[in-house]
Parts: sequence; C-alpha cells; structure tokens
Amino acid sequence: MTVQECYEKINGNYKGVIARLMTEERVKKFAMMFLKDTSCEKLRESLAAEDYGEAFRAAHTLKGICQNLDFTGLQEPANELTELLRDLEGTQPSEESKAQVQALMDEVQERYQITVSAIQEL
Amino acid sequence: MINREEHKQTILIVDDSMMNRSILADILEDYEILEGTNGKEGIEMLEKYGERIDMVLLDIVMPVMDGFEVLGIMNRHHWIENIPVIMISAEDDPTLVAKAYELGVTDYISRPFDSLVVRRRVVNALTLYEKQKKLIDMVVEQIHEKEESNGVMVMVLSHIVEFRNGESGLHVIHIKLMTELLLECLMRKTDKYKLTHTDIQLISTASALHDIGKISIPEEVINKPGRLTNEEFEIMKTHSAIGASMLKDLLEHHNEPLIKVAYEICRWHHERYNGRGYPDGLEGEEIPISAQVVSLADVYDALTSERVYKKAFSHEKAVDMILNGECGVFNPLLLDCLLEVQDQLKEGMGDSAMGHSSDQQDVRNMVQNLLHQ
Repeated sequence: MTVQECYEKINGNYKGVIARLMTEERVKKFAMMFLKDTSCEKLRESLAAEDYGEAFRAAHTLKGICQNLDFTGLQEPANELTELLRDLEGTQPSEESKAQVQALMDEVQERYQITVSAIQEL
Repeated sequence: MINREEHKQTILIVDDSMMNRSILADILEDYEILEGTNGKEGIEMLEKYGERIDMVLLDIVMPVMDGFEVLGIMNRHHWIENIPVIMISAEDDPTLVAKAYELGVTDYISRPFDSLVVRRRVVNALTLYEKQKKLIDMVVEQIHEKEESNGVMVMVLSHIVEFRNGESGLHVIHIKLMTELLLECLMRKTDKYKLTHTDIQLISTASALHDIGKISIPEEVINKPGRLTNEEFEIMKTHSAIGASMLKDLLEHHNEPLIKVAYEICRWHHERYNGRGYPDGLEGEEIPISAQVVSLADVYDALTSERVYKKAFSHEKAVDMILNGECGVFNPLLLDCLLEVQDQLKEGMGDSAMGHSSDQQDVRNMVQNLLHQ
C-alpha cells in the first residue's frame, strides 16, 4: 500500500501532511513510528484506573501526534475526548460523564485499530 | 541561512511524546539536539548544560512538570534572558498563548506545525540572540578596556606624587590592596553601606589618588629630613583640601564616579570617627566610607614603613597601636575588619614588596625616568 492509499483508508489528510512535512519518505518514517507510540495504551490504562489527570495528558499527546501526522480520522474523536477530560481533571465525574467518556473512548479505539492496521500494510 | 559548520548550535526539545520530539529533531537535523521527556528533565538539562543550550523548544501539557512551570523556573534563574524559548503546542486557547508570551517565550507555534515554518522561526530567533550576545560581548569588552586604561592613568598620576614625596611607589600599591581587603570584608559583614563589587573596584582604584594634593606642598616641607615644626605641619595638612579642590574643578565638567570617589578620599582621608581629624572635623558616618577605609589603610602603611624620623613597626605592633587608639579613632566595624583580614594583609604586603606585576613595574620605571629628566 502506498502512503497516499493508507491516508485514504484511515481518513487522513495526505495533501496536508506532505505540504507540512515536505517529503513522503519522512511521512512514512513517522507513520511507522506511530506503531510504537504508547499514548493510546496509556490513555486506556489511566481511564481504567479512573485517573482523569493522566488520561487527559495521554489523550492530549495522542491528539498532538495525530495533528502532526494529519491522522484526521483519529484526531477528531481524540480531540473531543481531550476536551471532555480537561474539564473532568480533579473532579468526581457523574455516571453520565463517565458514560460519555466511555463512548468517546470506544470511538477512539475503533479509529486507532483502523489506523494501526492500515499503517502495518505500508 | 545555514549556521557555520565549526559551531553546531544546540537545541533542547522538551516534549512528552517521543514522536513529536523525533519529528522536530528530523526537521532540525543540522543542529545538535538534546531531549527531555517532561519539564523536570528539561530543567535538569538546563542545569547541566547552561548556556551551551542555544534554544529550547517547549511543549505545554506534559506529565511531572508542565511547560509553564519550566518557564517559571527559567524566569527565576534569569535563563530566559539568554536562552530563547519557542513554545510548540496543540493548545490554541488565546489566554494560554498570552500567558506563554508574558512568561517570556520568543515565539509560539501551534500544532500541527509546518516544517518550513518551524525551521524559519528557529533560525530567526537564533540569529537575533546571537547578534545580541555579540553586542553584549562588545560592550563588556569596551567597559573592561576603559577600566583598564583608567587604572593605568591613575597609577601614573599617583606614582608621580609618590616619587616627588621621595617614596617608592609602594605606598599607593599597599593602600590599594588594603582598601580592597577591608571593603570586601565589610561587604560580607554588613549591608549598611550598600557596597557592590563595582564600588569596591572604584574605591580601590581611586585610593591611589589620596595624596595628589601633596604636589603643591613645597619641596622643603615634603622632603624635610626630620620632624616637621608646627607651622610646617599646618602647611602639610592643607594637602587634603588642595587635592580635593583639584578634583572638584574636574567634577564640574566630568561627572565620573571615579573622580567623585577620588574627591571624597582626597578631602576626608585625614578625618577621624570622633570628629578630631581634618580638614572639616566630620564625625562618624558623615565621613564617606571610601575615605574611612583609605584613612585606616594610610595609617597602617605609615606605621609599617620606615620614615626619616622613625623605623618601620612590625605588622603586629601597628595593628596594636591602631586598636589602642594611638592614631586616632576609627569606625569599630572597620577595626573588626582589620582584625579579620590581618593575616591576608600581612601576607599581601610582603608579596607586593618583593615583586610587582610587570604593568606596575613599567609605570614605576616610566615615572622615575620622567622625574629625572
């Protein structure tokens, strides 16, 4: 699979990332590096432990990486989750908020799987 | 603009995401790159490498210590004045951007960033800071040169006076050394006089001029082989007011700190703490601290030097005589300092008697030749 095809599959912005990072080679190198990134895992773990401060920072990192690589499909739910967690940091969230977080997390997970398997085919 | 090969500049990247650090390092591949994974590691790097780090690229949201805390510490240590910081963050809240600028960042780049823009802004900030560093170095060098040439002129002048007085030139060197020792001790002891290191340098340099008024005392009084009569002593005593008036004319056109301090020293280096000195009978702290210190140094050196009418007293004897009030009353704080620095003093005076720095030797020779022509 080419880099462009990969970006189509994961709903990323290929034109945008090439314009910013200049070469396809560089984009591919960092996309491959995303496979080793642990921020999504950290997000999952800290949510399971109900540590919303850590969860916020992990989501924020994940969002930043997606922005840098123009992984728009994953970036959108990651961004929403980041903002939700920012407000929850240091509070006792209601059951309703927890459910909202869980729903967004499921979406992030799903997009993350799609992204990772597409990159693995590069 | 690519920086010169011989000196690769160093950029510290502080970001919790390994990927973000790698992308930045990749964009800035022709720089030396250091990395920190959170604010605390960034600060540790700054402590370790200091100003060998030419720039910091800083994220905001990080575990352990965030970017704003890093900026706070960089402000407290004044590092931010010499090391430019560019913030790179996915945060686009205008209040956060404003806060970053208030804390002294040079630039703020939002994610997702454009590799060309990052490069350009890094190069621009580095170029500006390098220019600023060069200018600072130039100013420092010029001030240093000015101080040095001031020092040489003062030495020439004071040696002229010394040789006319039939002295060796050692007297002014001793006074300068002792003034410096006493003032440094005084600065450690109290903040009453608000002394800075610059003040101490200035007073020590000016101390060499304390006797310039003697240039207008008649030769037969100055070099009389024996004790002075009362009348001759009265003439001799005018040297402090005369020296001061020579400088006062200068002060009207040149308000130089060096001349101002030299004026104080010339006029009041024979005053005593209890008001029993001359020419004005000033008392206690009415006497500027510069003159107080030089008068103590002057007395000590007179006691430990040989005169036509007396032998040189030992260091111990001289200190005893001063403490017993045999040479008039001095500021008790200065007497404490005298006791505290006396070992250094004894050692320093011996050194200066044995050999001078080549600069001082040159000045001595030059003045001696001038006077013998």
